[in-house]
Amino acid sequence: MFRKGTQQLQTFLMDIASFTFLQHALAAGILASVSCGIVGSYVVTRRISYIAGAIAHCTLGGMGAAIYFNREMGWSHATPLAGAVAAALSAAVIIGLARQYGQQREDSVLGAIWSTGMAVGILFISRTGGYNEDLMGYLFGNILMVSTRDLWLIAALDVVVIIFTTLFYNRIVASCFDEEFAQLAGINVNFFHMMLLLMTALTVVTLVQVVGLVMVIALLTLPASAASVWATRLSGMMFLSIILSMLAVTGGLAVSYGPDLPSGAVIIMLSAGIYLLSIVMARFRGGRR
Amino acid sequence: MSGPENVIEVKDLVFSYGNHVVLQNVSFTIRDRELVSIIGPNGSGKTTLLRLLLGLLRPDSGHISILGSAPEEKRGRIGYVPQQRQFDLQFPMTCFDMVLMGRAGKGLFGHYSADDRRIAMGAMEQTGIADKKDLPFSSLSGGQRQRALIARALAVEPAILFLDEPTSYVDSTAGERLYRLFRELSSRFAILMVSHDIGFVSTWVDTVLCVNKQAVIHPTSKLTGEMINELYHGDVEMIRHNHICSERGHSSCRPS
Repeated sequence: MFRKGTQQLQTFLMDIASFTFLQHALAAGILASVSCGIVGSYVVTRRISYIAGAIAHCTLGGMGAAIYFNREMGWSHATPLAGAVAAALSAAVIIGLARQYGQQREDSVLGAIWSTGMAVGILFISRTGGYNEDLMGYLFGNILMVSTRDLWLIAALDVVVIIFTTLFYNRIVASCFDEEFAQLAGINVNFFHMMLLLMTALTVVTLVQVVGLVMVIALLTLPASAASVWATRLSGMMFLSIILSMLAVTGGLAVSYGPDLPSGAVIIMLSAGIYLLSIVMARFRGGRR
Repeated sequence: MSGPENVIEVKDLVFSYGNHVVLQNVSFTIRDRELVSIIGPNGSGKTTLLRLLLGLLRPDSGHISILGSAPEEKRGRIGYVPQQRQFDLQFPMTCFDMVLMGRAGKGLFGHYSADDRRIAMGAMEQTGIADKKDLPFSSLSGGQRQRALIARALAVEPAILFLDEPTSYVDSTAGERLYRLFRELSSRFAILMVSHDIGFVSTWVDTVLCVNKQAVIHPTSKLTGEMINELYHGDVEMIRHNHICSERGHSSCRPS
C-alpha cells in the first residue's frame, strides 16, 4: 500500500511537469490559499463563518442565472464565474446594509439570503436545457478545470486582499476585536465591516473553484482555526493559515490525483485532519490555549 | 474665578426602546477632574445613559454636550473601558497589541509610530501591567485584563474616561487597587463609571449619579441609606467607611 502510494505520488509529480491543467490546478490552489488564509483568519476571529456560508450558497443563484442566460438567451458574457461574483458581492452588500440600517435579526436575513439564493439557482437550472457540467464543478469543485484567465483573477484578488490588509491592518484588528471601542477611537467600523464582507465574498468565489460551494466554509475556516491554536497575533495566524491552506490544497491534489478521487473532498479531509491534529497537539504540547 | 469647567452637560434627556421609556427628563452636569459613579438597580438605565453619552445611542429628545460638542464629534478624545464579558478571549493578540489599539484611530491608516508605542507603554506602566506586555491577552487574570483595558483607554489620551462596571470580574483586593487608580487618574480628567459596588463608590468616589429612569446627582457624602433604599426599591445594609475624597467621614450603604 505504501509502495502504491509512493508510485501515485511520483506519477503526480511527473505529470505536473507534463500537463498544463495540473500546473494550473497547483497554481490556483497556492494562489487561492493566500486570500483564503488572510480572509479566513478574519472570518474565524470575527466569528462570521455563517455569513461566509450564506454568501457561498447564494452564489448558486448567480451561477444558475448566468448559465440560463448564456445557453437560453445567448448572452456570451454571462459565465458562471461572472454570475457567482455578482451574486456574492450583492449578498455581501445586502448583509452589510441590513446590519447597518435594518431592524431585522441578522440570522433571519442570512437564512433568507442562503436559501433564496439556492432557490433562484435551482429554478434557473430547471429551465436550462442540457447537462450542467459546469454547475456540478461549482457545487463540488473542479480545480483541474481552472483556466489561465481564472488564475489571473485569483492572483488579482490576492493583490487586493494583501494591499488592503497591509494598509489598514491595525484598524481591521481593532474593528474585529472590539467594534464599539474602535468606533469611539474614530475608526469607521461600518466601512471596514463592508470591506471585510466584500473580500469574503470574492474569496468565497475563488474557493468555490477549488472545493465547490458545498465545502467552501470548511476551507475558509479549518486552516485558520488550526492556525489560531498556535498564533499569538492575528498577523501570525494569517501567515500560518496561508501555509496550512497551501499544505491542504497541494496535499489534497497530490493524494486525489492517482486514485482519481474528488480533489475538493480530499482537500477538505486534509484540512479537517490538520485542524484535529492542531487541537490534539496543543492539548499535549501546550499551544496558545 | 470660577471652578473647573463642565465637561458633560445633559439637559432634559429622554430615551426609550420602542414604547418602553428608559430615561425621562434627565439633566445633570459633570465638571472636569470629577470622579463620578452612576448607580442604580438593574434595568434602571445606567448602561443606556452611558451609551447615550458615548454617542452610541441617539436620544429621543434633549441635549447632550461632551466637551462642548455632540458626543459623535468628540470621538478620539474619549477613553472607554467596556465590560469584560463582551470580549472574545480566543482572539490572538498580545497585551501590548491590545493597548496599542487605543492609537489605531490616529493618523491616515492607523499605522503605529514610535510615539504611539511610547504612549501605549506609558499607559501600561501607569496601570501596572508593563511586565505583561508580551503575554497573550487571554492569559491574563481578570484584574490584569481590566488594567490592560484601562491602559488601552488611557492610550487614547482621553479628556474624559468612561467605564462600564470596571470591578465586575475582579476580587475585592484588585477592585480596591482599581479604585485607587481611578482616584489618581481623576486628578487629570473627569471619570464617569457605571458601578454596582456601592461600598467602593462610597469610599473612593466624589459624586454619585443615582439613575432609575430619572437621575439625581449629588456628592457621595450626602448619600444616605434611605436614598439607596428608595433607589433600589429594597432593603439596604448600612456600612461605614472612611471616605477619602473631598468630604471625609460619612456613612454609606450597599444593597442587601
